Amino acid sequence: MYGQTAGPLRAYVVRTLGGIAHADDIVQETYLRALRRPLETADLREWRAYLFRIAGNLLTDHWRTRGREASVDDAAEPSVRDRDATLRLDLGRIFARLRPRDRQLLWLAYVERANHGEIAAAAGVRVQSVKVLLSRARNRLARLLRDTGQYGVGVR
Amino acid sequence: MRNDHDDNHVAEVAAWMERLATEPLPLQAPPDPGLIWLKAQMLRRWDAHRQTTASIDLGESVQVGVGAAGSLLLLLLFMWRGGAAFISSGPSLAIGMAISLVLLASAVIVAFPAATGRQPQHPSPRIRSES
Repeated sequence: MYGQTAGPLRAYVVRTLGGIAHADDIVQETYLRALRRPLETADLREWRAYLFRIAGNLLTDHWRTRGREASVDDAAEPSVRDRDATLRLDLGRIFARLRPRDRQLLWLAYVERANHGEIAAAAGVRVQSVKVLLSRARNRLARLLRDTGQYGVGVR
Repeated sequence: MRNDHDDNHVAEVAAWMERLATEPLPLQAPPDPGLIWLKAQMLRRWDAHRQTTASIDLGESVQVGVGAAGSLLLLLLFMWRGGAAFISSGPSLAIGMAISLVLLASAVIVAFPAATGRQPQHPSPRIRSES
């Protein structure tokens, strides 16, 4: 189970946090909580949803503890205009410029391919809000891609 | 209300997110699953231990409460019935009063740490209960 879920879960946590600081702690605590109150099923899909939900709660706690919706990496980030060509290609850094909530929703929707119900459960938002929140996040990312010269690069 | 640009962004964002997903993560070695498993077993044992001792802890609290209430009642009864006059009337009442005061004091001593929020130490301070 760990082998099949750890990679996607770590990627989700790292990308949502916008950096590696605290990521492994959150991943470890996610598994500890899950193993402390394990599901009675062996179904991988249910386990995966369970893990992402716990990780989502931990991420929310993390942001609340920090008191603001930004990561340390964001604070150290240079402005878009200052970026050189190398940085422009660093997709992770571009993504880290979004709000944590936007990163979380976009990752769940486009990488995990979660449906609205699963996104709502993992992100701790109402199912009815997911569509609107996702649309806003998408627009913000599109604007960011334009600013960084990435818009149109991904579509073949 | 649907944003006008939304449809245009969907394909672009989806493609870009796919590229991002294939980017290698800036990570060190993953957390050791064996260590996680061991910690989880310890925490589960700790939970079971707490569950088992919960009734004992409750019993202790009830015991302290009853002791405190009883000694307070004895003290009040003594004061109501004449205080010092009773002491002079016989040694048994003075002893009774002394015992009730000792009982009351010991109940306060026992109850005070519990009332001030003394909690058993958790084996892993990073773990909080899932609420």
